[in-house]
Amino acid sequence: MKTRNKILTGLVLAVAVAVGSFFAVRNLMPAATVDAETAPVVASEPKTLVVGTMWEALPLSIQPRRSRFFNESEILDTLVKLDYDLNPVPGLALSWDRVSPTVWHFNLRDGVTFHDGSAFDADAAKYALERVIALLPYAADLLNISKITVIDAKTLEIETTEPFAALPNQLSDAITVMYGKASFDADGQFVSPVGTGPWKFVEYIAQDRTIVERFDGYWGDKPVLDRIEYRYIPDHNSRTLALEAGEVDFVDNLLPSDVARLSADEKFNVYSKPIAGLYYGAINAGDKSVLNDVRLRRAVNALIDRNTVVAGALDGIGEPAWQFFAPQFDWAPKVTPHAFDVEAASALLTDAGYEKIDGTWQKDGAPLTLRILSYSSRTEMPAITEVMATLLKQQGIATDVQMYTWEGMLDFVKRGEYDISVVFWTPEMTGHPDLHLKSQFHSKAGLNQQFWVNAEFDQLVDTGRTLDAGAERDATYGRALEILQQDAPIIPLVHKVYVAASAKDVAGFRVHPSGFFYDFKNVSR
Amino acid sequence: MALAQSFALGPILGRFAPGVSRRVWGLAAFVVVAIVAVLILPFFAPNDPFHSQFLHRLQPPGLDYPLGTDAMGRCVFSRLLYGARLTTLSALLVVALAAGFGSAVGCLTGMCGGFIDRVVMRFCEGVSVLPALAICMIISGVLGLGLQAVIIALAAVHWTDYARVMRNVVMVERGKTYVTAAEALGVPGHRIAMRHILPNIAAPLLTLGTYSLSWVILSFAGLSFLGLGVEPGTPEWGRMIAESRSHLREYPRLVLAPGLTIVGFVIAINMLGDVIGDRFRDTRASYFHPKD
Amino acid sequence: MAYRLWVRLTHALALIVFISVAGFALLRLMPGDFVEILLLSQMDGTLPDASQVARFAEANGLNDPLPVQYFRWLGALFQGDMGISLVTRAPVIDDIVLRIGKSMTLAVAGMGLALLIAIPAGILCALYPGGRIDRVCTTMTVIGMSIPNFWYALLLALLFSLVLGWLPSSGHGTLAHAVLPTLVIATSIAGVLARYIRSSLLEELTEPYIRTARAKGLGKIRTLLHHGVPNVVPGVLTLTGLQFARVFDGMIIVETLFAWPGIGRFLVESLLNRDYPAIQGCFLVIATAYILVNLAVDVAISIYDPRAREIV
Repeated sequence: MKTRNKILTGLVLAVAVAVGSFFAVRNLMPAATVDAETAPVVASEPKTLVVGTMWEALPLSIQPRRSRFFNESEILDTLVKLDYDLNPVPGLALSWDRVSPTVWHFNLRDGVTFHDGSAFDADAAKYALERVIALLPYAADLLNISKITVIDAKTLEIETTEPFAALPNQLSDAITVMYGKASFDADGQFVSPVGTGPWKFVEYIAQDRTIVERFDGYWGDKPVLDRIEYRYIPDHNSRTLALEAGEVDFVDNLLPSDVARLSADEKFNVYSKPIAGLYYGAINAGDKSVLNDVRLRRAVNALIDRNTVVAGALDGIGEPAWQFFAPQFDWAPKVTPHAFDVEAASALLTDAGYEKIDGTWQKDGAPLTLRILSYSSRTEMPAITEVMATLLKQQGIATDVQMYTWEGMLDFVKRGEYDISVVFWTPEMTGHPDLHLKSQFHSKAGLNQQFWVNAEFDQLVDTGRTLDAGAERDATYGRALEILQQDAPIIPLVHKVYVAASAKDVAGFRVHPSGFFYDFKNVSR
Repeated sequence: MALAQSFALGPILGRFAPGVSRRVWGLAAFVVVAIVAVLILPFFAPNDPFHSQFLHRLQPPGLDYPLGTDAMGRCVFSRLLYGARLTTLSALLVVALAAGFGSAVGCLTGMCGGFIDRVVMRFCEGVSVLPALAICMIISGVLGLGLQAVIIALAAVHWTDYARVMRNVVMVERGKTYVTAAEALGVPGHRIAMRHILPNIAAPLLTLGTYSLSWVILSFAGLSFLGLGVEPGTPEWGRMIAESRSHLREYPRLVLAPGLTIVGFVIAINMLGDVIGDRFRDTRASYFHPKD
Repeated sequence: MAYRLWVRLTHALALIVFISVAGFALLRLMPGDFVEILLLSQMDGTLPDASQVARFAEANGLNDPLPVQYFRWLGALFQGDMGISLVTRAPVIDDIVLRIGKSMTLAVAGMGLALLIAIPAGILCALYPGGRIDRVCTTMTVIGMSIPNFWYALLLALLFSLVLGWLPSSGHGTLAHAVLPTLVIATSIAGVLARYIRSSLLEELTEPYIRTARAKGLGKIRTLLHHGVPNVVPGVLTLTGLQFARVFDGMIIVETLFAWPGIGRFLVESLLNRDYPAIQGCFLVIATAYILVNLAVDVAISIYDPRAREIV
């Protein structure tokens, strides 16, 4: 009797588990029917492009990353846009002129409406810019705006705190996108993006996808496709797999090793182009590091063969970086590139009091050891860091490599407890040298955590941003960049090469060099 | 783990079951031999596992490199051999720490019962309810990546499993007749624990031990997958998989070699655990019901 | 019975309090100045100066003694307020509500599948220890628990989505999307459970009462099912409950690989971004789920086996 009870109880438990799992599975079913309606079916009417992205498409915070997505997906427009050579071209502003050293007039485009039907005019532009500046201190730093005045419906006057020639370029930065008033609720909280771009926002499913549809009232050439779904697939292998399995039509940030295979495969188009972006070793030039000696900084720069870094860490997908700005951008003045030169490095090290004993550089019996930090949330960082460290080791410099999360690394960097931190930034993003030089290397810059102080550089960068394009500006920035080469607070490693792939039937995609612009308007399938 | 347990249990069993001890010591000897074998494996490495030859990266298997080279131009086979020592020793350390501390706490609280039991169990639950990988991520995020951080993190999370299982087993064993009988005879608690309960829990403990050894090795791999874990370039098997994942499609052998090594190695550990478990089961059966 | 349930519930409550204190402590003990981090998130990247930090701390009551802050935080928690995410700037509770269902679906489905595999496999193995079935099953279960899950998940995705084209490789929404993640979660746990069932059944078979049953002429299968199996159920249940924490471990990896928008991935991203309120929220929710499951297990065991009631 007792045994039977036990078996009965056991059975009941088993059934409970089974029923539980059944309902769990059932839970998925309604989703299944919903999905069947909204799922992109190739044969059905609306022409949809499904894009697999590495970053989440729409994090709901008033942070640069969100605006970046609104800009790169063209839900929102900027006043100024950048063409395929990173030259400023009309966006929502048709033209602009500098009426005095600190005052700019922007003539706005006529007949532009937001997705909700309201008109875009100088009032709307003023509202959007003031809002962004109020919410993002970074935007205030970037733009240096002291006053925005509406002259008339189509003319916006912007006054800067100091003479600031880079303003049109900075106004192409994604964080200056024109949010319509309808983007925010009565309390001023962000709800969803309402802009003037060719795509209007439809839906966002957290950690899953963002859906946009064509906006027929767009001021420019209307997109060919009806709809784009940005699916968030963080894992690199999974993302490529999704393309190969036909679940998505387009993926970006391919693994370097997948590029060759997909290129050889007739079913796919592969897009590859050098764009803005530099992987570099940021050197601690402060007292806590041996690298506060410029000779050592230059020696380290000369000991790393960038070709090996590109080949070893990125399977050749990248351009060896011997200078700060990628050489393909004409607006960046030319500088003397670094060179792989072991003899020169040896001379510098010897000059600094080091001696190579048993293949190791030493001073007073202690080996030269560098503490190298990086972060692993960006997949390629560990590989680049490791190759760099290995190359230094092979040249007789001991290394202590440590990986953290980005935030974890910053803790040490801010305290100056490192020699080199390997990072990635996109210094060429706005097509103007000011952006990165001022915000990262100026001794007063909030992001300068390298303790590198060079008065001449500071002065040149401060001057450069006041000068209009021309010989004087080029000379000023040329000198500043030359200091960056000679005083070497950084080790440029690799210029980024953007790689994306799509199904064969996707046509018309071009890689935009800013790295923050999909430009799917001309894409068809 | 197996090592620690064999040594710990051998003499205890030997004291009251003389016929058994030789077997146990035999087993312990086997485990020692296995560990020594793992320790000397690196000496058979044909190449320096840390030496990168960028000109020889991604070489196919051949005479110089039995399993080819990885993306950094290092000999995969040599790295696997070095990894055997590194992975095994660190995993053993984690398990030894966790098992030692956890089972001591579990036995103690199981024997004491009452208020202490409740408090300790609440605490154990409190630690074990949080996803281990998440806690390890926090610890690695603070201490940085490194073998030490990973070992500490995994042990700190894992000991509660031993404590909980041991405590439950001890509780159940305590309810069994032979313990009640011993109690009735006035045998003091610690002697009941040492002489009667401990031998009976050896099998579940070893099952858990072998299983947790594999769990630790797999957790190393999981942490490496999440971008945390040991330093880049360390020839730890999980790290090797994680580093080669970017070449999964073009050079599957780079992922398959350490992957299959882990699978094979963990299977071997689990098999060993089964053998140990079976032997103890025989032992106990013969202890309670001597054949003829 | 009612009394015992009451005791168990108070234990669970005590545990939740413990977790909440730990969660609160986590926020304050993490590296970096908490106030500065909070403020930094609102200022989006530029470093606040000391006076701003002081003003912000004053305005938000961050200078009060920690116990006061804890109770204020707890009070808010009871009203469903887990704070504001430092990254998304949305209430943490919203993020969690959005994701917990998807993760629980995966967890329960994975657990269910694991039991469905493990119970028959474990029993079959114990029936004929050393036999062919035993060897095959044991090998399978050992392989199952010996495979690194991300490795195995990748291979599965390659096989089923790329080579065979049967299942989607990532994402969620349909039943088909859930198959691979569920399978990956179930595999390792099924291995653990099956092995446990086998070994504890074999253990049980050495007990004298089994000999008695056999001696009185009961068949092998009947002995096992009627005497062996009922006695190992508490252990299996306990282990299943314990495995629940492992499920979330697996989830962290599986959700990342299969782009499943659940709480595991949210936790990883929060950890990487140091989004403390979100980490705290995830821990609280995961811990509560785990506690409830194990409470259910304990209650089930005590109903099932009166002798074990003392354990509860």
